[in-house]
Amino acid sequence: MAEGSAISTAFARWPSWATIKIRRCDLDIADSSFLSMPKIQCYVLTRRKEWCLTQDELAKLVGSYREKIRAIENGTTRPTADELMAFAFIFSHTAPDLFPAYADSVQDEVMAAAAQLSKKFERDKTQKGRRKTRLLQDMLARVTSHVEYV
Amino acid sequence: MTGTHPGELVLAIRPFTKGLAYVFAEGPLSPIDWGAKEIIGAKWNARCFAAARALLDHLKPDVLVLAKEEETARGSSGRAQRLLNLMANHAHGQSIEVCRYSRTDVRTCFADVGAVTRHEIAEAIASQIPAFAHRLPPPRRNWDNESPRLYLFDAAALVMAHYCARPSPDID
Repeated sequence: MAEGSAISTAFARWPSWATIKIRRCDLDIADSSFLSMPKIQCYVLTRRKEWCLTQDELAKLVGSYREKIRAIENGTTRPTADELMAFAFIFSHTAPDLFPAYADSVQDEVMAAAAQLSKKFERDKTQKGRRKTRLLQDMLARVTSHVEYV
Repeated sequence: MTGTHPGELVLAIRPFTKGLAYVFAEGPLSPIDWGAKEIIGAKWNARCFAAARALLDHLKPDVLVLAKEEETARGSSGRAQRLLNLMANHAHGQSIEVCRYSRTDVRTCFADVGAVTRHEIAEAIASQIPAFAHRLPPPRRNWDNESPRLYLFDAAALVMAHYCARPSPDID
């Protein structure tokens, strides 16, 4: 079976990647030990307190302002790319570790786009097309590696 | 079901004469938020309850962990007991599970590491959770007052007692 059709079959199980979210929630309700969505929006507060920094001091390190740090900690706003890089550097944690909910939502959006592209790549039988399909397969494998659908 | 769910959010609140200490965690060694709110003066109970309610509303834990009444009422009070009952009642109203652990439960949890006194338990916690290490107060001398920082470790010990009593299926 061609790579293209394999991945399109995989994506076809979830016509829209958003369906995964619904399935995850269903699974959570059925058995929360099976898979859980991140309950904590971000861990900036935890890391900041771990290192005894005030919001003002962290804002100075990041090059932002205190109100923005507070909003980020409360999950009411998202960090900019610069702030994200700064947080990752300051606390020596990856961005998905610091912002699990943000990372999940970005991943869902990327996978939704990938689902759309997979239909296009499926028709491309060239070397480049197969290479692109391989990337989408890898992405799908990475996302579903910790999920066991029954 | 007796085990904790992975990612179960636990909030332990430990009231003391000058306020509230709290630890919010998603695992025995994974605190997310912690601190102490200083509350002194008139209407201590009402203000402590308001602070606890604000914590519950903001942090939205799955489980509220409190000390068992008779253990908290050392020295003063029905006042602390009433506060704990108010907090437990509010949590029930918010569909938050409430668990209470006595000092015996906490000591049982830390028996394996040889920690018996509050300070030894605090030292054991500080050695396991680096974020708390700098908050460890010096051992209390007979003529010293209790350090408010020790109550933070009391709250952390309650969290650990909770995970000890109801281990997660993932934790051996």
